[in-house]
Amino acid sequence: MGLQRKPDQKICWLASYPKSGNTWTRLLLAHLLRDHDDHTEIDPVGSISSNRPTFDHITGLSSSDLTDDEVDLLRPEISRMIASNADKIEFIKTHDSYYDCGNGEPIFPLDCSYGAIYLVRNPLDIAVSYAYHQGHQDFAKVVRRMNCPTHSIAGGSHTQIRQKVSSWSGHYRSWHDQSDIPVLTIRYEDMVENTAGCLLEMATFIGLSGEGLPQRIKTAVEQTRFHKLQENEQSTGFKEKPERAARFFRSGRTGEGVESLDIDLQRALLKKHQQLMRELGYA
Amino acid sequence: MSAVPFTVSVDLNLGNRIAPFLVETGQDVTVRKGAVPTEILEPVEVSPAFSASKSQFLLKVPNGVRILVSDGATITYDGGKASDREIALFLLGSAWGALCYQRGLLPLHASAILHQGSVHAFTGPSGAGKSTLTAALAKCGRHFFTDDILIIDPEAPGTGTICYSGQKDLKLWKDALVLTQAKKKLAIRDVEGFEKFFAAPANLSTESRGTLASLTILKNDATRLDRRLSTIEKIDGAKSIHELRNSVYRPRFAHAIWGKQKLFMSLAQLIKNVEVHEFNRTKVTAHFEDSVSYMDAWIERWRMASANGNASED
Repeated sequence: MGLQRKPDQKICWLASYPKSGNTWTRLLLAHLLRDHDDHTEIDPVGSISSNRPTFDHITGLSSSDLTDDEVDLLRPEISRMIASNADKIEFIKTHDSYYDCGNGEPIFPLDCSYGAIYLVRNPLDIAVSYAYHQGHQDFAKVVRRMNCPTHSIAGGSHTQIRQKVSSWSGHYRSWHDQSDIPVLTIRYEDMVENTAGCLLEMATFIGLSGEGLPQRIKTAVEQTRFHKLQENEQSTGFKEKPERAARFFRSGRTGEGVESLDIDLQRALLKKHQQLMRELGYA
Repeated sequence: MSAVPFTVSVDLNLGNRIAPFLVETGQDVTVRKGAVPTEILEPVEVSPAFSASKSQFLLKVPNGVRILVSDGATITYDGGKASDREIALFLLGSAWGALCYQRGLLPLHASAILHQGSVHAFTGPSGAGKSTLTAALAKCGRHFFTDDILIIDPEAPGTGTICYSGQKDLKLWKDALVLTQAKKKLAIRDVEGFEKFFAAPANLSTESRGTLASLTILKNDATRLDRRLSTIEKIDGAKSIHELRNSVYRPRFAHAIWGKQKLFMSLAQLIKNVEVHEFNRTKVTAHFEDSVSYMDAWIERWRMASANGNASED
């Protein structure tokens, strides 16, 4: 028997460490959920949980006048408001780990959560991709962050509000140690190998079915082939590209970490995350 | 015509930010410390931090400050353990915006400079760079007019759009202070390590009333979309109204206090008198001065074109 959900449990979190295929997944879902045949100029589904204008709009406060911890206190209620105003599943991307907002309540409340699609990727490959995403190739700096349990991004004067990312394995464990929100875990490497199969898992998780589903999946996969995303970015740009990055859809390959990281950096990641890397087939 | 749209009497130190509004007696609005309820009757809009009906607005800040704005005439605050400076921060922010709506005034989320009687305002979401650009233009010699809130009087007689300064101090992050060389004052919060400060702009205008000439929406997706680093494009009609709806200060307050229809009508009236533009630029620090120069030159071209009877200069 399927999981019974309450009417306001409408948010499907798309949770991942940065550079783990979240935007690709959002594009796959956007094409999958398209209700007509025009697949040009499609934006990725959903917004991001750290969207500052959304916070300001809903709360009526300027988030930049609040401390990062004060912002966290209001986030569960914001999620509830988004869910209560949604008429179907609302996808929200997040790089936050799963943590206490400051008053004993999880930052992602169960009562408005449909579930979470958790995307995980080999940390060696993330290190390379994350550095290019930030417009540099200082891989050692990125590895230090990925090994830091208190790593957070944005907040303060930044365009987005703070996200408590944690270390690579800390992020994964936080989402998988909690038992409130149902989690579907997808490996990036499996998405590269069998995109249609992974998308079918996601479709099933969010309750999609029907005769037309295989064709919808096929179309979504074709429309989001990496070379196609690169071509689109080359011709019209991509709204979510960081200003410092040369491009958003850079490589998408697996195995770049082994090729690009020197052996000491590979060892530093392996030493810190060895157990989880083994569990996931990365070591 | 008065220099301010209403006068205020207060019992706490609000600094210089709304100095033109302050009077000892005969005020339109009274600000006093007092008991603030935990909720209001029959709110139309409710959020984690506020609730609002047509005549009452209640703000609840996570630091314990609570503020009640009633009938456009009284503001009651309970600051808890917060200092006057922290109370003032929220009183002159969200509560000030709600007060404007209750008094029939339209607050825009905008910072502005004044140039030869014409107000040029810059709007956009939090983090768009409104304050920083305005402070930088003031450093270039333009007169600083307002930060964060620009108050429009939709009922003002005459053909132009009369507007008022909402704040005479800036609020800037540490890096923006460096970029603009605005004079740093105290931090806006009493929290250790909070690096956003009140700041005195260069070239502060003593005027608190002007005629709104242009409203520019700040965007920063130029480099993402591989376009030129700075572009200014005039927008009209439905698109300008759509964009302006996002530029209204705290739109949910407007929906509760005015209703969506009145807001739409006011914005439609506004675009009849005021040119709306999009300024798309990079926010990469290395190009900041170039983008300021670009806007500064555009204002000058606008002034010359306006003098020749053709204001639009794209």
